[in-house]
Amino acid sequence: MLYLFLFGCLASGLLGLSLFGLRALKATLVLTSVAFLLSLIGGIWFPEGSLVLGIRPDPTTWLLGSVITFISLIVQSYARRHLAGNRREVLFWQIILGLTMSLLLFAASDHMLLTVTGLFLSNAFLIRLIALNPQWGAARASARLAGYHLGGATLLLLLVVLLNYGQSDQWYWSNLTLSDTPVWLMRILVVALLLAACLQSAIFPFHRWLIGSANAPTPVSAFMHAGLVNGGALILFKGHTLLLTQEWSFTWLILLGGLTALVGTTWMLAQSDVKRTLTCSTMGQMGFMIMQCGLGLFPAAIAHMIWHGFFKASLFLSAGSTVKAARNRSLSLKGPKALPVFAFGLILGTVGAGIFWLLTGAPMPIYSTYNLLLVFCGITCAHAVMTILHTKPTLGRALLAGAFGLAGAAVYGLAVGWVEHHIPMDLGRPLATWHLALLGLFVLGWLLMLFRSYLPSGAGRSWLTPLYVRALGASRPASTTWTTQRTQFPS
Amino acid sequence: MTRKHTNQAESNPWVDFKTNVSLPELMSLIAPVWPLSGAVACNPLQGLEDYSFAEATQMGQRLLGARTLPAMWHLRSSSDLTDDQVRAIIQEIGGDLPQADTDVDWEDLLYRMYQTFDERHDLPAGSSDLLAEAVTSWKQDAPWTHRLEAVNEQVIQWLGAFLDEGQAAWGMPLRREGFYAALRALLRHDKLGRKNKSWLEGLADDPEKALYQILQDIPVDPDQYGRCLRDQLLALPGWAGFIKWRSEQLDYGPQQKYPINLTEYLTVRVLIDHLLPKGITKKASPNRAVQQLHHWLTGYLQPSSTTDAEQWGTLLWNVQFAQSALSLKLLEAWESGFRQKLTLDLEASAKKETGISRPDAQMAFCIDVRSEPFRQQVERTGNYETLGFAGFFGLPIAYKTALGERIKSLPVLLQPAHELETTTTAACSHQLESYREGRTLLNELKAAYKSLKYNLATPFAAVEALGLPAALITIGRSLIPRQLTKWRTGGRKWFYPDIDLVPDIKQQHDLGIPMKNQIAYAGNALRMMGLTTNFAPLVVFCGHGSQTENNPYAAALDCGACGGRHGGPNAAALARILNQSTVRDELREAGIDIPEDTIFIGAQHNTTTDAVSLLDLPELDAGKEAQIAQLRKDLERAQRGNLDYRAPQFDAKAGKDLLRRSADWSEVRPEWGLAGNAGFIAAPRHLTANLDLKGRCFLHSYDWEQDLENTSLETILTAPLVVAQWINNQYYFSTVDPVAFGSGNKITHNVVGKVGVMQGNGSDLMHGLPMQSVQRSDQELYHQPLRLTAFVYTPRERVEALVDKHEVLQKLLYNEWIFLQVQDPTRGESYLLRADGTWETVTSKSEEAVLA
Repeated sequence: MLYLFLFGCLASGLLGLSLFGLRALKATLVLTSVAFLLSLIGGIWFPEGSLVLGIRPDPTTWLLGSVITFISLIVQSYARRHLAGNRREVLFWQIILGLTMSLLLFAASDHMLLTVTGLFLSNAFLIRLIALNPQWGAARASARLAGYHLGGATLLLLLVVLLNYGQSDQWYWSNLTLSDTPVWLMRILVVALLLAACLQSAIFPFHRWLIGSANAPTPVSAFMHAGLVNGGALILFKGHTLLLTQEWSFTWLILLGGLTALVGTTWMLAQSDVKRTLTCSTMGQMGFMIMQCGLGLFPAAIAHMIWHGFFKASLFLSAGSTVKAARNRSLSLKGPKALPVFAFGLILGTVGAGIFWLLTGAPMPIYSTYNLLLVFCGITCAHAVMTILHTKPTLGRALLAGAFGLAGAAVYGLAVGWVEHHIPMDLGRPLATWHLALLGLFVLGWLLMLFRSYLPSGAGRSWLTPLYVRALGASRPASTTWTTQRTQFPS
Repeated sequence: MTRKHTNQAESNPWVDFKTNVSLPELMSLIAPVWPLSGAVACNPLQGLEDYSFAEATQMGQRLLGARTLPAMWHLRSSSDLTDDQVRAIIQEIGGDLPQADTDVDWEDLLYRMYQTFDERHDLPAGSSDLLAEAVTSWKQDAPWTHRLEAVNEQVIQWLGAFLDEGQAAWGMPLRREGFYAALRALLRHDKLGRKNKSWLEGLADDPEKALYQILQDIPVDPDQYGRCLRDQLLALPGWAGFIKWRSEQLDYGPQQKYPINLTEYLTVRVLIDHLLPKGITKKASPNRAVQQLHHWLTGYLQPSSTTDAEQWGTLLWNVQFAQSALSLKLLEAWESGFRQKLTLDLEASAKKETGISRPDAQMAFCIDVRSEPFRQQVERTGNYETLGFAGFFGLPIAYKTALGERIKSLPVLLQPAHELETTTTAACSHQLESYREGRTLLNELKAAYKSLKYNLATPFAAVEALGLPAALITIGRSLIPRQLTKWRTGGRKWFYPDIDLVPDIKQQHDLGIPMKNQIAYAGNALRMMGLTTNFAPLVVFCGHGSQTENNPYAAALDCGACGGRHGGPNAAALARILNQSTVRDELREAGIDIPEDTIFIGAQHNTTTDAVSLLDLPELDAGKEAQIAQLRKDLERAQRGNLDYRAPQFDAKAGKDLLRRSADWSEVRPEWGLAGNAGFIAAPRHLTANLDLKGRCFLHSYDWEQDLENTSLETILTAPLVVAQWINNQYYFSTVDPVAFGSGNKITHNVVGKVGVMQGNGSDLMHGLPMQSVQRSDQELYHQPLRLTAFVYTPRERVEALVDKHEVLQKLLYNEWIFLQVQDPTRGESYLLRADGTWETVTSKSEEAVLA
């Protein structure tokens, strides 16, 4: 029951806006804050609830509820000043509230049709927000592109739900029984589910809608990158029982996710405008998240979804600060101290990975895919340590670097551990050789970038030059989404 | 006095397409665009200043598809004209209108237009066939015009990559070879160039040679080259303007490293045009101004489905012309209304006497319009005299910050004559090193954070560790912005001491300012601001700077006289110069006797919060300490007073809201900057002291009786006035067309290369000011787009002599880019300089009688 109050709060905000226009804005913010507090309270004191109107509260839904309302709160408190004076301000607020509610519905519903409805409404609201100013042709094109992809995701999910119901008479995710389903149908269901997730989360080769979405107003981008684009992980999470019947689906998720992570991150490095840098970065992060799903690490994927969402929202909202901020550089180790610094980093990285292992509850046996996370943690911790140390390799700096690196690993461990505590689920797949090979690719990329000053380069005409041109070309948004003539932008 | 600039534009060569233009001549059409970090205002139609304003606006409209005169809703909402006056104006222009369409009642049409045309309305969805055909009948299309947009799309991406100054962690390879050479090499790997490798290799190495080589390969007649290149150049005026600016900055690091110029840009454009598939053409849609006019006209005339498109095209063309004529007349009426009111006010104050007692302090502010209301508040709090002077305080310097960044702190019209290091007060000198170390450490920690983001394998775990802190900071920045700013300032102090850094004037080898120059600068500055006698015990030089968060346009709110930087360092440097006994001794010889007990203090006025901080205070005795304590108290009172005065400009209830704006990262209107500017007054302060000028005037102190050789006035009219004109024109054009000349809407801004903004995924480099800087809301204007009028209090002959001497003044005045009005103390009357060089008397005794 309590969960319905969340909707009540937001709905009254929406009502207030519709009746009183912008005068109700403060009340809307307060009501959203109340919804956020309610979801915290619910999660702490009433974690398990009974099924009401297709929604069954459990620790996971409370967690997602508080995340969604919090992101909504972030976006609202920013948009309050940012959109001041915009002629579509009221409409914007109405849609934001509608979007928040539909996301809650999507995340919390146990009834499959409600899930599809939530996803449909969320995507529709998002598309309207991308083209908040419909007079702008490029924004309309962005919205259309998003519409094709996100609409496809919604339809595929609907297909899964209907086929499943036709087979098993079952509307609830939690009661998914698949024993009688024929194999061919299972395959169709799983393929549709995978495609839906990939479309929603802009996984290569379905990334084009995300890459072309920077025509959206900044607060909308923040909501998109912190919220909707993550939908893929939730789709997979809700339907994981399906996936478990087809082990190959995990392989595909890892391959597509891993590829997207590498490609998105590579593209990100070459971008010269702030919003596409952030967009390509999100694409890479979505790849990583889907890869985690493929590794069976659903709680870790959801942790990634939450924390990356907060982080990316903050980066979008502060995109105006880049003019004053320092240059973006990636670390390059060189000189006589490069190796000692590297070694020191590796040692602390190992310690950091250990801390992470302890703080996430030291859960898995050695042969689980969970161990890949340890390597990512270790690499990142080592990287932080090296960056702080390499400019001035003194004892004081080494201590400082160590403190930062290990503290970071600890925060990472706590962040993942906290989410895992809410979503107790252990589906880590057995570690295979090709998992390690994929990991090897990331590690190789890391090392190549670190030691790039030792690479042979013929005055820029190296093998990297064609790669650069390809990265730049492939990450170009669709032609229709450019404002190629200045005066096409509506004032 | 004769008018030298005749009407050159009987046939407008830029509109009627010169065929054999030279490249430099073409490029003079482009106005330079500064990078955001040192944003400087400039007239976007700078290249057309040799034409009269009326002609230039016509040309700008056709060349750029822009609106160059105020929109009807601007004119309507701000006008206090009666219906009869409007009808009279319409009748006046009736004779100039084309007589072809006799069945159109022009007077009625224009009157209806004045009453009902509203450019804010949305355009209906879908395109109109009638309009498309009508526009085609204007015959402005050429084979290349349908490919400009496809070329734009390619070029924007490459320009962003090439001109990038630190956004991309993976910079464009081969940039050192220059834009054309780099692109020629890179395009070999691109989809476009892969099949044309041999053609690319066959091109000349020299960009200009290659340009003509490629022109021969694309289907353009040789006698159309000029027109083709002009269209290529104007297809992206913002990017072209930035390239133009950069190519002229020989001391600009990125340009030295990665050279680019407009010739290379043009070459790359035609090169890409050649590589694009032949089928890629897109008929450019008519610009929004034409579309809006068309829709209004359809509503007014109700054309039937059989209306002949060609006739409609002619009609539309003529209506557009008539609209411009009407807008210009209405603009002139609006401007003269502003002038008349101010003239009356100024003449009324001319008779007032001022006391000559010694003030407790004199404070010199920048001429910036934001100083004006603040000066009034300062004067009210005590026995203070204020002065107006160009905010770089006459010091043509560049200085290196403590971390080694070189800052050119002077108007862009000048080049720095001295290179300075940074120092701090003697009391803090031991802290300079710990300041440096602390800042370096903090920067390196920030770099560490960035390096985690820009790697193939590390961002994944990093974002999770940073997620929660980011979320908390994010919500804090919106909900408790001021508190968070305080914490951040506190946090910074933990890293490095809070010390005043000032440019070091002392000469050491090549650095610093030689003593003889110091004396000259000090003497000139004092004479220019009319401060040569009656020095107060405290003389404060007050530069200014803004304080905003997350604002790409921060520099546009800083001091224009200091090249878009904070003005405090220059103020502090001049104070240091004048506190030296050697300088004072020399000045005494030259007739400027500064009393022993006078000290000079540098300061900085925060234009967003109105706080004034005193900089670099020397060691003082108790008496002086008390004087300064009193001054500080009064400045705080002035701050509160001015915040309350400004609050209504934001529809804010209390001044406190303005403090929030300075710290709020989501704020799109942190302060109004120079919006509202319309006047420039060079006169003694007592003329303006009792007027409420509403922050709309640049105030330069000027006393004609002291300026015996007319040199101060010469400087004022040729330097600060010109800078004010640039600012005024930027605000004017950003207001009349917030897209073609302004940077559009802030909510969809995308910073590119750390140098400029684009709209959304990619667009022209949006130069000019965003809509939010000139409009209260989408529906309501804040800045009134009026051309600048300079008011000078001096005998008319003196101004005449200067206008005759300086071409820049003739150009700006006779072409009506600005207006000049003289209040002649010897005759007791005011005169306006007309475009034909004659003077118009603008006051009569009767008006004075009314006032009395």
